[in-house]
Parts: sequence; structure tokens; C-alpha cells
Amino acid sequence: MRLVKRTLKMKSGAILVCLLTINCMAIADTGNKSDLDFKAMVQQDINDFQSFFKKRFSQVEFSEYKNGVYAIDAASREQWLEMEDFPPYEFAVDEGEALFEEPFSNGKTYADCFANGGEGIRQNYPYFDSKKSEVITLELAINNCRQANGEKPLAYKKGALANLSAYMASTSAGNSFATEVPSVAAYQSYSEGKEFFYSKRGQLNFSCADCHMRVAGQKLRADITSPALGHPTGFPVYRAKWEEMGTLHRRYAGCNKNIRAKPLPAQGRAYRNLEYFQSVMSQGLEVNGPSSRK
Amino acid sequence: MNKFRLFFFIVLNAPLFLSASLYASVDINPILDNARMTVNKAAAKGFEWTTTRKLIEDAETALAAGDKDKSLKLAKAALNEAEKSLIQANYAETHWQAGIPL
Repeated sequence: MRLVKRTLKMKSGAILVCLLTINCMAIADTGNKSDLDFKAMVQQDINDFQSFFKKRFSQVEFSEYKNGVYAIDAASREQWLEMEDFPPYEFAVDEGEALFEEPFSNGKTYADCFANGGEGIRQNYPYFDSKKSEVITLELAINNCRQANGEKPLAYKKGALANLSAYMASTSAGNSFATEVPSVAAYQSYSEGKEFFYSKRGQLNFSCADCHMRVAGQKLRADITSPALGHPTGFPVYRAKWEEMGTLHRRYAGCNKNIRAKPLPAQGRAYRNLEYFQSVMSQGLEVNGPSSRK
Repeated sequence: MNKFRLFFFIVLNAPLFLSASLYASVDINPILDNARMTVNKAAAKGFEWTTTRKLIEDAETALAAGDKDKSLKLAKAALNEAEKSLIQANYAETHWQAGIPL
């Protein structure tokens, strides 16, 4: 009788060990699977997003999307090309270069903060910083550099920061965006940006996708809406409506106001994640900022 | 005959007079408090509308000036907007993928 009981106990113990082992293997497998899945899902998003515009505007070359609405509307493009004969952002680039080279009070410069001395690196922003677990945009990195060197941060939407960003973008012309989503944490930020892009907000109940996907190329009042593909590539921009330079987050705030949604803080988490999502979707397009817009 | 008409006039219009007096006695402050609380909830989710706080401010100004009718209308409009923006935020949390046009 005792022998039977012992055998039963040993058997149930062995079964328990087997079950635990299988469970552990399943958990490990799930971990690998999710790691593989998020990269596949991002790639699927990129394919779907870019295919949407290829189908919508079948005559437009992929590389043209860096030019915003001027890629899809011939009349606007003609005016824009005339404006580009005397680019209104040139002064901003010159001012940005002067600021870039001016030493901080500790003798260091912006070049000390960035890879390759800050030249030709626009396409590497935004990126996901795994140590800080957040998205770093070029404008945020510029202010981080200032603060690390004992300087006050600059205002994020226009002025000196937009000029610095314009100069740094100008040194990167022709380099292609290759924004990656390298980890599960990065995927979280990417997903938040994606959610923002497709969520309807404001009194008019519009999402970014409503204007820049669904009705891209059509008129909203007097303006033709630009395709979302390539949105970040030309920023910062000189906008005729502003009569000055402005950053991408200034434009985000303007878009939100247009649909009567209260704008969120420039370089806050929400807008940075949105820029991250849009930059991932624009993979393969060239940097052509600074540029000019209506 | 005139007494008869007067009687019917009073009887038929009694609900109107009663509702008017109730309307005048509505306390606007709880409506404004509710509107402020609701708009703050929507703002915390990033879905505040640009027009709601202006309505609240205008309702407060009208109330301070003694214009209860105007204040009540504005306070109700503010609360209505605040509630809609919060509904929009909650809906987006669970249904944002329905907005993907792919």
C-alpha cells in the first residue's frame, strides 16, 4: 500500500515538473514571438501606408512625397517652384549656421553633442532612446544639448530653434529617412503615435488620417490637403501663412486648432510619438528640409 | 364671459409660469463645476476642445453681471461640449482602429 502511494506521489511530482517545464517553454516562446511580431507589424504598417498612397495617386513617384502637397497638385507645384527660385528659408539657414557655430559659455558647441559634428544627421531623428525610454526628436536633442552645457532651452515652435533645426536639416539634404522601431518599448511609443494619428478629436471630430489620407488631394475650404506620407521630411518650413519659420510641432498645433482640438505641448510625449510614427511611415524618403509651404 | 376666459387663460398658462419660475431658480454653479470637472477629464486624455473653456468663462462673466438666463445657457452649452469631448476621448481609446482607412 505504501509503495503504491509513493509511486503515485512520484508520478504526480513528475507530471508537475513536466507541466512547469512546458509552461516555461511556452512563456519563452511567447517572448520571442512578440519580439518578432512587432517588427513584422511595423513593416506591415509601412507597406499598407505607402501602398495606400501609391494606389491613391498612381501617377506620383514615391520619391516625390517629400514635397508634400506639391507632389500631387500641379498648380500649387508651379507656384511653389517659382517661390523656390528665391527660397524664403535661406536667411533662417544662415542664422541657424551662425547659432550652430557660436560657442556656449563653457566653450563647447552644438557640434560636440551630435554624431558627425551635427552634420548630415537629420534623417536619424526622431529615434527611440532605450535608456530614457522615450522618443528623441532633433529639436529636443538641440535643447538637451543646450541644457547639458548650462544654457537655457529655446522655445520649440519657432525662432532660434527652428533656425538651428533648418541649418542641420540643410546639411542632410538627400539622405533617406530610416527611422526604426528597435524594441518592444519603442513599439509602445510608435503605437501611441499611431493611435494619435487615427483618433478623431476636436469639435469637428477629425483625425489626422481623415484630412491627410481619406481626403488627401481634395479641397478643404481653399486649401488642398497634403498626403501624410512624407510629412516630416521637409520640416522645419517657412510657411507663407506664418511669414516665418516653424517646426513640425508648430504645424501639429495648427492642425489641432483647425479642428478645434486644444493643441498639446510642443515636444510633449504625444507629439513626439506622432512624429515618430509619421517618420517610420515615411521610411525611404529623402530629407529635403528646410522647405517652403503655403 | 370675461371671467370664464380669464379662468382658462390662467389654467392653460399655469405650467408656463411655473416652469419660468423654476428656470430662474436653477443654481448655475453646480453646472459650471460639472463642466469644469468634465473638461479637465477630457484634457487629461488629450481631447479638450478649444471652445469649451471659453464657454465656461463667458458663463461666469454673465453670472457675475447678473444675467442668469445667458449664464445658464452658456453653462449648459459648456457642459454639453465637455461631455461630448470626454465621450470622444473614451470612444477613441477603444475604437481608434476603426479610423484606419486601409
